[in-house]
Amino acid sequence: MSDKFIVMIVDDDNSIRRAARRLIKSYGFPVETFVSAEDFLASGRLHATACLVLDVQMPGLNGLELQSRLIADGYRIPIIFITAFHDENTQAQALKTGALAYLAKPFEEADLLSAINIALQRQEGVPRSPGASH
Amino acid sequence: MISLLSGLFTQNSFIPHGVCLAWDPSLMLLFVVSDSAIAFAYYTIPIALICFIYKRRDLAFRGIFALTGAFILACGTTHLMGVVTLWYPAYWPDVMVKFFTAVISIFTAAAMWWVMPEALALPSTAQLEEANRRLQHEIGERERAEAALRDANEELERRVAARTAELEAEVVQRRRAEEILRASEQRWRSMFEASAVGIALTDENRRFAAANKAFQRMIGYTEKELCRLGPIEITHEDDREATREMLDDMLAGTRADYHVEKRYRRKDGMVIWVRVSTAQAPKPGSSLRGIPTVIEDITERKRAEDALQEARDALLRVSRVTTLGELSASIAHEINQPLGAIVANGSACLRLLAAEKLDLEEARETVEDIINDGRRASAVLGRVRQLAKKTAPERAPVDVNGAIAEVLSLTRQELHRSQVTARTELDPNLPPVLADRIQVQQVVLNLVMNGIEAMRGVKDRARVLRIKSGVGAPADVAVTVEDTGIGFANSDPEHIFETFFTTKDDGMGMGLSISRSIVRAHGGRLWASAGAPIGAVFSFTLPACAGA
Repeated sequence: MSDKFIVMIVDDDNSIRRAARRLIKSYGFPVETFVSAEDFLASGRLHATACLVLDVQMPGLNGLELQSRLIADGYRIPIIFITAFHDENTQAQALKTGALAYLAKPFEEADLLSAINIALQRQEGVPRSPGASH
Repeated sequence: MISLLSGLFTQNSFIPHGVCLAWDPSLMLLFVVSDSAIAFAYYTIPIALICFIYKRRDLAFRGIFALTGAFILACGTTHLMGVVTLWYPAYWPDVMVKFFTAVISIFTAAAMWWVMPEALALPSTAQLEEANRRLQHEIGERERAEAALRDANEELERRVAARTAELEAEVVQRRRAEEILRASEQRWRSMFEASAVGIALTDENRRFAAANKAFQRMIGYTEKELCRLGPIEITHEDDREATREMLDDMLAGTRADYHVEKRYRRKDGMVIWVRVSTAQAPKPGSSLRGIPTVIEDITERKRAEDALQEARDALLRVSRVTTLGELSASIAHEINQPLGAIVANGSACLRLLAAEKLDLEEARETVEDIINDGRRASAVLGRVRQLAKKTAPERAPVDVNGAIAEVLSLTRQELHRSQVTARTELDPNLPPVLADRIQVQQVVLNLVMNGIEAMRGVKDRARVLRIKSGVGAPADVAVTVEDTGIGFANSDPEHIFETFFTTKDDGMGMGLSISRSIVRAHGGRLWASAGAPIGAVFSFTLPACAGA
């Protein structure tokens, strides 16, 4: 697997962060975690992000807002939404704006993995950031 | 006859008395004058006596007077005969007269002696005068006494008349008073008998002295049976001690009246609820003996109250469940978070265990995380179950800050979803309140949900829900929930506490009115006011635990 393929997890829930990181790590992907969208934006790790596992409901900037923000800023990061509050409207909106997946907690290991694999396949030829395309 | 008389006077054999006197003219004259004078006097006296007797018809010893008169008359005649015999020797007639005089004088003398004792017994004039004087005195006395008696009689009669008049007036008055009393008594009696509430009179021996029909029907005993019973006997076993104490106090005069709700046991064993009110106990010496008591059957009311309480409890549960229903998404979120972690950790753990290089430390940590998340999910469910469970309200010291924090943990997702920022300013030195924890949480929950709802349409400003706790008035814990929502516009904040008042399309409008009844039941207050500059402020107080 590519060393450059780093999965970022943004979730305000500590348990979810720990569990998701553990699971994704067990598949050999490097993982970094953030407690909020603001944290992630401020981390300077956007360019290193191959796949974003993003919680929908968070204090401050929520998942959908972060997605809009990234799109507006020209980032084409594959996003896998995870949510503990299942809402079809949100799901439809998320998928319409290009999310890879919208997974309800507790999500299936296979669903998460297949979404990550799609992201991995996309990484092959698609530039990850506006900076890379120039 | 004439010859006889002349014979008598012409007896020549005797000589006239004058011869003896030698016809001496002086002597003769003296004889004639003396004898004539005596005769005259002697004839006069009997005539006076006869006159006297005739006039004094009441005279005693009339016979004696008559005899004396005859005797003196005879004596006079003898002296007249002495004059005759001076010239004519008619000694036979003379002696005959003398003899007759002798006989009559003897009789007279005998009669005088005969009547002497009687005559002596006749009172003397002095005696008579004395007797008369005494009599006069007595008469005087008697007249005075009679006059006094008459006066006294008159006075008595006057008094009797006056008193009679008084008595008559009194009788009239008394009769009128009796009539009034009878009318009053009748009125009271008919009220007593016709009264729909029970009325009874308890005497100083704690027995019923009287009981009306309503009371007899209520308790199932006849008046006769009740007279052998007292308030204590018919009272339910558990209420007897209190009844005894109150009755003792009433009879001792240390208590003027009492009003109490308690239970009676009817004759048929059924228990009924009654409201007993006693009036002022009569003062010692009053003609009214006993304690008048009014008894009202409130069994139905009690039953209705119990039913109402049950309905209220049920409503509280329903409203809790309804609120929980509104929170279901939040609750699902709270549970899905740990569940998501558990499933992910489980998957990771299986992979760890299947790896060629077994990382036991990591596996152990993973399982520990699973356990912790399991507990976390369970705790959420526990809180939900507690809010929804059917329990009778129970008062215990409650940490209001803790209760607020738990409610916020349940509503966190709801707040987040509604883009409401919750801020708390909780006083760490808050004393506990004596309350039902779940009900306090329900109030906080209602206010939080209400605040979220009020800010739903707000677009132009931050949606902030500020929850504060602190010590309010002395011994009060005060909680305020402020929002930056639509507020009350110009309407009265009190309206929102009316049952079924709602601004929500899907709301029942019961949350706030139920919250207020909960707070009131705890001895506190719940009110609303306009926020400054916008929004609404809901405040409630609860009395702090005594001694806290």
